[in-house]
Amino acid sequence: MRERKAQVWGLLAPTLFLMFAIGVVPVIYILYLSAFKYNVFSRVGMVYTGFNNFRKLVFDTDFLKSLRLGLTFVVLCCGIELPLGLLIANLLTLEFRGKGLFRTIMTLPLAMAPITIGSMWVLLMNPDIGPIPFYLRKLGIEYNIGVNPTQAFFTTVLVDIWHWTPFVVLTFMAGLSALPKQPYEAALVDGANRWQVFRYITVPLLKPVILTTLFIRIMDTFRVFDEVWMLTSGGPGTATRYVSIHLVRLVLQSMEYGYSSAMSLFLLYLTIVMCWLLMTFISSSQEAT
Amino acid sequence: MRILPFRSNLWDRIFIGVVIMFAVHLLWVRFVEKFLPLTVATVGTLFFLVLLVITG
Repeated sequence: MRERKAQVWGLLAPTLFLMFAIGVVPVIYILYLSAFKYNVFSRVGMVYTGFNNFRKLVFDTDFLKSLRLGLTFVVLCCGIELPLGLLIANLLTLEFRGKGLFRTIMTLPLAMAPITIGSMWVLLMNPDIGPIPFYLRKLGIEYNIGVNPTQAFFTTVLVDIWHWTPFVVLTFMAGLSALPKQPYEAALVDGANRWQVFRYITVPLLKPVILTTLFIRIMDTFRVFDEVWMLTSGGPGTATRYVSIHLVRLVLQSMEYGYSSAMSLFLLYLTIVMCWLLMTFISSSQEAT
Repeated sequence: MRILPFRSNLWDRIFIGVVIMFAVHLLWVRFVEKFLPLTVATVGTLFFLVLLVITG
């Protein structure tokens, strides 16, 4: 028995070591840095400031604005992606011509790197050569994400929806294929229509999958970076300056590592709290079913 | 008497305690520090953390 335990720990050791080295150690280092005023190019070096970085953080209007903007982005993206994904996944349970082709084309954005998607949409949205502003101009709409803050914001939302709805569809399809057949057969015998079946059988049974997908999407959307960086770099002005963009800009411009560490720690804290709340929901819904 | 409305183990209690501690400190700095020093929040939340770990 003891030999078996040693074998198990021996097999787990490399993974645990890697997880500790690349997961735990940086967090501890960031925690340590957040208590200092530290600019790498400063002659003074590291100066202990205690809680001052967090004091600065809660009064930083730029940061609070980017946080609000980021949360709006999360709500909009998840609020559209999940119902849309559920709708498409449900439609894909039906048999129709070209279903396989549609499924393949639909999953293509998932195979692309976010930075590639960003550069592709930059070209599509270019006010001089892009096809989207060209056709919109023909309809009398001036579309320029480099100038109009609202258009820039909604373009980033659109790109995120375009990129990640296929992922939502795939997880929902997996969830739908694993649902038991009996409740559907019983509903058919009772004369339930398609909407009633969807509302009272599919959605309640799919609740754990919906919550898990929401959990993943909230985490991903909250730390969105590549696409937005390529599309707008946070502009025009601060219209698309989401928290991760704000953080990177701050680190690159001011080189204030202490303050930036406090900011990243706060973002980690927010993500952990949101995930914990959702996990509690997921486990309670799984206990209920 | 329990503080949390659900069953929890030691790690849950420590986690919830630290999460609350951090939130209270940030809110304190933002709204209360003008009137009361941060030490009050630290002592208060530490006391709460110990109570939470013991009672659950």
